Amino acid sequence: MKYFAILKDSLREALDSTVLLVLWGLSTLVIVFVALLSFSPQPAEETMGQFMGPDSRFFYAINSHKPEVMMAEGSKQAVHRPVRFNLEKVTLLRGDANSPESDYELTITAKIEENAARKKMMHGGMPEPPDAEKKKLPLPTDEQIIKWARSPFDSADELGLLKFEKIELTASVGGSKTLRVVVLGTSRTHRIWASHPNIAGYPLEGISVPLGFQLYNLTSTVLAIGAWVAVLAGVVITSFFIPNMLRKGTIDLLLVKPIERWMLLVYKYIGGLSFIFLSTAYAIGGIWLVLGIRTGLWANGALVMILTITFFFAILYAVSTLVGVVTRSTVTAIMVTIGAWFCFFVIGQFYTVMTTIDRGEKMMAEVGMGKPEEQRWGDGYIAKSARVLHFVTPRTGDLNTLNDMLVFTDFMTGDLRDMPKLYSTDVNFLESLIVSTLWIALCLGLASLWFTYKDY
Amino acid sequence: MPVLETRALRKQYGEIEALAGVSLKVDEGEIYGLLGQNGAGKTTLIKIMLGITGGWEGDAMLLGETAGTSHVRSRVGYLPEDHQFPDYHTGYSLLDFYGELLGLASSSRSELIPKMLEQVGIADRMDYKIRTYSKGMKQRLGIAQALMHRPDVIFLDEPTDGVDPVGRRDIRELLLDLKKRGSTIFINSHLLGEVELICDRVAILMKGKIIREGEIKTLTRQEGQFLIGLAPGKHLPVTDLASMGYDVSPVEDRWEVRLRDDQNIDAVVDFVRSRGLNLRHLVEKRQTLEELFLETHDGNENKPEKPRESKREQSENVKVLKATDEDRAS
Ligand SMILES: Nc1ncnc2c1ncn2[C@@H]1O[C@H](COP(=O)(O)OP(=O)(O)OP(=O)(O)O)[C@@H](O)[C@H]1O
Ligand SMILES: [Mg+2]
Repeated sequence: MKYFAILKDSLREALDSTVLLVLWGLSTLVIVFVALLSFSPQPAEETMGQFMGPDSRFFYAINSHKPEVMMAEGSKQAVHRPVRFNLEKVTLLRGDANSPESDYELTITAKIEENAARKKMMHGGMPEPPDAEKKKLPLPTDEQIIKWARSPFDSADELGLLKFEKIELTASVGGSKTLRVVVLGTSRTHRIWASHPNIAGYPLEGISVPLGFQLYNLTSTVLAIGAWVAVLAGVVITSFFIPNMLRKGTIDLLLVKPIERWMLLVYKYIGGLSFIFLSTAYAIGGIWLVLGIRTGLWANGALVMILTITFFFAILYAVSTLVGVVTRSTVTAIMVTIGAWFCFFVIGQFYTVMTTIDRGEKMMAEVGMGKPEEQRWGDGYIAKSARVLHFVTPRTGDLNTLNDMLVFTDFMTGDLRDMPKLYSTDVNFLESLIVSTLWIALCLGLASLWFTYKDY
Repeated sequence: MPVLETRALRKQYGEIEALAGVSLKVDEGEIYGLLGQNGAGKTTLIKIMLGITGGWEGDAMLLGETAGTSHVRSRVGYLPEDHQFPDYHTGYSLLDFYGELLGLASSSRSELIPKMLEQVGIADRMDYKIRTYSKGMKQRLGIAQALMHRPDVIFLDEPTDGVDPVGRRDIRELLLDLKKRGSTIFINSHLLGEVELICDRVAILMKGKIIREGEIKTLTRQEGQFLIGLAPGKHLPVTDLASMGYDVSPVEDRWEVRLRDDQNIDAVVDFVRSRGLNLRHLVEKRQTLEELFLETHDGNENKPEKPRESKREQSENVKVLKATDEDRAS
C-alpha cells in the first residue's frame, strides 16, 4: 500500500539520521534505569503511621491534586485546638504479618495540644492566629477528634485503597484519648504500602511514602523530561522529512507517481507521526513493563500517554509540515516549530495565571472587598486578549495536565475512572481536543493547498 | 490517437515566457527528440505533461487525458534532469519504494527490480546506499526507475548525462527494445549524436517556440547538394562541368555538386553518362544533426522575425536518386 511505502521511506530516512538512534538509545537508558529500581515493603506500622494527622503523609499524597481539599483541611483545624495523633500499636487480625492483604487493628492516641505549636499548613491554610488567641480556641469534641482521625482512612476507603471497618474511642484521660481503628486490606492496599526505594539493590535514604505515590513521582519526573526530549528530538528528525522530499530533483520523482499531491503530503505527515508513535510506545511500554515486573503495579492506564504524547507531537508536526512545505527549509521548520511550541506554552501559562487572578478578584468581590469591576485586571483588555488567544491555539498545556492525571490515577488506584476523585481541574478536555484537532487540520489543509498549486 | 499532443501550449514563469505556443504530436511507438538551447523550455514541456508544473494555457493531452491527471501517471516513466535520489536508499530499496507508489505488487517488484538493475548494469551494487554511487551509476539507476514498470510513455530528460559509451549503448538498446514493445519515448538531449542514433523525429525548440520539426531523415537532407561516385580509376570531367556552369569540387574519392536554383541534377547525370561513365553512387548530401541544429539556430538568431519556409516546401524540391543508409553517417 502506498501509505506503507511512504512510512517505510520515512523510517529509512529517520534511521539514516543518528538522532533517531540517539532517541532510542536514551529511551533504552531510561528503561534500564527504571529496571534498576526496586521497592522494599516496610512493616505495617510504617504504612499505618502514614495515616496519622494532622500532617498525614497519606492525606497529602492522595489529595495532592485537589487544592480545594487541602485548603479546607487547613481551615478546618484552625478553629480548634489542634490534635496530634500517634500510632501506638498495630495488631494483626487476619492474614500474613506485614502483608497489604491482611486486616489490622490500630491503637492510636490523640493528644490535644496545649499551646498549639502547629506547623503552618503547606497548602493555603488560613493565617495562623496569634498565640494569645490560640489559647482561647475551643477544645475539639470527641466527635471532632474521631472525625479528624478517620478522615485519611475515609479518603483511602473511598478509593478502595483499604476497607475502613470501624473507629471507636476506647479511653479518655484528660486531653489524651485512645482510639481503636480496624482496617481491612484490599487488592489495592499494596499501592499505599510504605516502601523504601532501592537502586540496583542499594537502599536510597529518605522517608518511606506510599508505593503508588513514589511511582507516580518517579514516572512523572522521568516522563516530563523524557517526553520533552522525545518531542524535541521528534521535531528535529521529522523537520527534515518535508524539505528533503521537496528538494529539486527529488520531488519530481514523487510527483509523477500516480498519487494526489495532498495525499502524498498527508501520508508523509502520518508517516512521521507513526514513527513518533512507535518511539513513544517503545519508551512508555518499556517503562510500563519493567515497573510492572518490578513492583507488581501494572500501570495500564498510563499507556494512554502513548496517545497523548503522539497527539502533542501531532500538533507540532502539523506546524512543521506547513512551514516545511512553504519554506522548504529544515532549519526554518525546526525554529518556527519550537517557537510555536514555546508560544503555546506561554499562552497556556499566561492563561492559567490570568484565570487564577480572575478567580481571586471574583472571590474578593463576593466577600465585598473587591475592586470595582472596571478596575479588575481579570476583565481588562489584556486578559480578554489572552482568553481569545488561548481559545484559538492548541492546548499543549492541557495535554501535560492530562498526562499527569493519567499517571497519578493509574499508580494510586489503577482505574482511570477514579480520575475525578483524585484530581480536580477546570480544563475542558473536549474543547481542548476539538480546538487542537482543528488546528492540525488547518495547518495540513493550508500545507496541502500550497503543495497542490505550487510549480516544481 | 497520438500518445502526446499539445496545441498552442504556453507557460509563463512570472516575466519569463518558458513556452510560447508549442504544438506538437507524438504517435505511439515513436522515439521523439526535443532539442534546444539551455532555457529553451524543453524541461518545462515535460513537466507540464507530467503535472509537475501547472498554470499553463493551451491544450496538452497525454494518453488521451489532459496533462497532469494523476491516474495516467502509472503508465508513465520519467527521468528528470538533475535528479537527486534520497541517498538513504539503496538502489534496490529505491526502486522498491517507487514501485510500491506506482502500485506494483510486491511479487512483481521483487521480480522486476533485479532484472531492471541488471539491464542497466548496476545489479552488483543494488544493495549499497545510493550515496556511494558514482554519477553515471546514479544516472543508470535513474533510467532503471523510469523503465521498471514497463511504462507506455517514457520521458527522459538528458538520459545519458554522465554515462560512459558502453553504458550509452546499453541504454540505447534498452530504449530500442522498449520501442519494439510499443512504448513511446520522449527524449530531451543535447547529445545530438545520440539523438540521431535513436530518434525517429525531432523538434527544435528556441525561446519557447518550435522552429523546426520533422523526421531526422528529412531534416538532415541537404537540398541541391549531391555526391557523385564513379568506378575506381574513373574521373569526373570537372573542367567541362565547370564550363557548363556547375559548381563541382572533389571530396576524397568522390565529387560534390552544388546546384543553383535553376540547375537540375538530371542534366549532370545525363552529361556524365554521355561521356560513357557509369555512376556508382549518387546521393543527396546530408548534414549531421549537429550541423542542422547549429544552422537552424544561427538562421533564427539572425532573422528572428522572419518565419522559415516550411519543411514541406523544401522536400518537394528534392529529388533523391539513390540513397543508401551508410551515406547517412558520412
Ligand atoms: N521554476 C521556475 N521558476 C521560474 N522560471 C523557471 C522555472 N523553471 C524554468 N524556468 C525558466 O523557464 C525557461 C525554460 O526552462 P527549462 O528548464 O524548460 O529549459 P530547458 O530547455 O530544459 O534548458 P536546459 O537545456 O538548460 O535544461 C528558462 O528561462 C528558465 O529560467
Ligand atoms: Mg532542461
